[in-house]
Amino acid sequence: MEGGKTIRQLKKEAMNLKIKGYYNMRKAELVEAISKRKMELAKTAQELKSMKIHQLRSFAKRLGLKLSRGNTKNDLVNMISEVLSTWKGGKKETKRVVNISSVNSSSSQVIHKEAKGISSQANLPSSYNKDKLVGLEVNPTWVYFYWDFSRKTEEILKKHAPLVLRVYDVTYVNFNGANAHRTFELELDVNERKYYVNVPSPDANYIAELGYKDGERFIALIRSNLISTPPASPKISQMEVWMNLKTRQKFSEISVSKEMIHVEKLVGASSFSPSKVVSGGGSFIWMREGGQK
Amino acid sequence: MKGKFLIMLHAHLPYINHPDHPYFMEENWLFEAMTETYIPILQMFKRLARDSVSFGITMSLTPPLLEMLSNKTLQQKYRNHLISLIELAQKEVNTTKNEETLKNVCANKYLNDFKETLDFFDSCNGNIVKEFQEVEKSGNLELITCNATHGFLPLMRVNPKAVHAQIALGVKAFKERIGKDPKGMWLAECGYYPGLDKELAEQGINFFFVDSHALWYGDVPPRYDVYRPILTPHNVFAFARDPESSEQVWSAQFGYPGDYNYREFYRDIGFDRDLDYIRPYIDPAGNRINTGIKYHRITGDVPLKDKALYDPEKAVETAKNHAKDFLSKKEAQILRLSRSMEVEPVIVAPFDAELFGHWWYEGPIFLEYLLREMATSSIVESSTPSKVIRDLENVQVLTPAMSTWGANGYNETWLNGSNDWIYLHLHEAEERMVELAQDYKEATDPLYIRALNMCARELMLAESSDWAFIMTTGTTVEYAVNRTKTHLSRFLELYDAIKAHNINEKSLEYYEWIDSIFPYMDYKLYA
Repeated sequence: MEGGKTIRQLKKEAMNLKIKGYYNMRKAELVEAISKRKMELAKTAQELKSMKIHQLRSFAKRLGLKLSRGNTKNDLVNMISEVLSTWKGGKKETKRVVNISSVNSSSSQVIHKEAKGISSQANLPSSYNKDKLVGLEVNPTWVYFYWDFSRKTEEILKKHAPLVLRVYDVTYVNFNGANAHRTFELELDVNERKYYVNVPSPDANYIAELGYKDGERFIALIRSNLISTPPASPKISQMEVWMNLKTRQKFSEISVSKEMIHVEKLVGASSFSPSKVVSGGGSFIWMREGGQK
Repeated sequence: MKGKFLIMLHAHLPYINHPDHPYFMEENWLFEAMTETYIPILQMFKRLARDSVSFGITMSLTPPLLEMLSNKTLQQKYRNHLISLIELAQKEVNTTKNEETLKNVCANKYLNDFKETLDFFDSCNGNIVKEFQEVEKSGNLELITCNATHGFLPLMRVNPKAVHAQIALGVKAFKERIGKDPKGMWLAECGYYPGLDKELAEQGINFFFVDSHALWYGDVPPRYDVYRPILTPHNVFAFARDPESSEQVWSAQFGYPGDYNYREFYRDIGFDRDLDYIRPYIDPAGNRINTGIKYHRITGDVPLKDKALYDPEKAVETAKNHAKDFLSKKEAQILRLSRSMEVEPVIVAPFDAELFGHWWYEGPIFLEYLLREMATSSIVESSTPSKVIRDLENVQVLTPAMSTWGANGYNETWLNGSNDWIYLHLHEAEERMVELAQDYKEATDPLYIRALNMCARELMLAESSDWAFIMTTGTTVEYAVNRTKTHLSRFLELYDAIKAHNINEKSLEYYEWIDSIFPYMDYKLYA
């Protein structure tokens, strides 16, 4: 659909959609960037009704809509839906990516981020030419991996595409490369430099390796740090340890039957949307557009 | 025995100081927080002292905040900002004479408040840090520190020396600016992981705070839920957040700050007045910004244009009622908890200080009335961690779980698709910093020492959790991205210069001026 337009039309559209660096893009890149952006916007559109008015306003601004103070919430929803409905055709053009390569707190935030455009006078190297695989805990069941290669490793891997990422569950194990409880594997494009992985258990230890497959055999080239996913539920315990602060003596006590029951927060929604995020506490000051009410 | 209520106000802003610009929009964050939060809280402390009300409150003044508050250039910029605000308020007093009465009432109030703020600021020669120190001497306020630049430690733990430097410099900064050793530390974003207590113990920290699930999911269940401090394996006390108090105060849905009588944050004369009229008081580039003068109340779920006028008297009345309501809820909670505890319950309520005043305009009034009312309660008293620890006899020992106070309780806010790219660079810089510190442990050449300290400053500035947070929330993202990239590339440049024995004194001097945080920086913390 976008392909039928002139490059000039495409650039204008890309500009309106605030696509970063559109002016340097070739036609094919423009087509791709535009449909990608529209898809993201359309995804957010599903959540329009549950958005707060200030979120709607900033969303509408991003679409280049002219607003007046008098716009009600309904006006905004209608205006936005109208714009988005004209894009329906474009949606089919882009193949839906099944594996996510990034976790987003909510889709509206992605738009925020990209619409503002990331530019900087300072540029950082894309690689430090070092072999490195780092796993960082996102939450009890997600781990973020990023990696970097020396030139030598990169050459080896380019010859043996695809990349293979192995994750070992090494909870309570002194890992020797072969004694993990469970081993998980994932194939990746050689150009990937990061990936989010859904691991099976909270409160567990993982080690990962990055390498390639030689027939059936996995050849590991880089090993990660130890990753410890945080626990997500209470432990059952028989014994408590206490300290007498006067004597500095520790003593044990059998835990008394619990009278203190705390009620944990139940998360829910009237309909299911995979990007729903429930806001917790903290760092309140910068929520300029997502504040109270 | 009365139950204890611990209010912990975390006062923090990222280090924003652009001496190379006469006006820099993001510097306003500090100015707004000064006018709306820090000075009103200090004024509240003064009134409570005048009336001999005894109370307990804990405040973490983070190192970047202390640095900004102590910076003469920023002090001068703030003073100019305030003078211009007074001028605007004076104009508003005249303009609103022909408008609704309530607007005029408000304009007069703003004029009066801003003048008092300026008097206060001048009376302490622009150094409000001293005022906090004075209040602390009364015993009602306990000041604590925070890890150096508010770096998010759970995602830094792959580089233990970088964590060490953050903690150690947090202690050092407090000593430099407050003049004594801090007893407690607020961990940025309440971010804790098992083992961090060892580092805290080694730096002489006696207590810190965690979110509720740090205890709930700890290695042993806490006997008294989150209502007693616990001791970690390395003998540091941990106080856990009470979920009820947080919800009551700032839940977006049910919290007090959303009351319809309270001032509406998003309606500001910076956007309402004619551009020509307001131009001298907004961004010189012509972008409208919040001025701090607002005439409307939250009103209800209506568009901004339909907001009703703000009535200061009514708002104060509402804040007082909310304080009363909150106190009665705390008393009921203490009584309920006491039924299943043999010792007195300790309720811990940490908040971002800037909630009070900046976001919730009436917050400081609420706090003041809460502290006044609580001083007369026979069931609950406000207290501080050190006082609670002093009275402890036995304490449960357990290892809190990895946790933060961010959305969903873990690392998602600081690690997601909008900001994950920063960690490759941060970790690389941390490794290089350690390498430099070890290679140049014995350096004596003043030029090298300066360059090494500058490297450490650039690294720490890049490590602020604020940048990742801003990237997630989606406002002023460009600024946060630029700050991250700028500090990291300055770091890399200096690193290369040191390695190549080619330190350019001119550019080093420039960095020392433009990123002048922590004059007492010591790169050897990374060795």
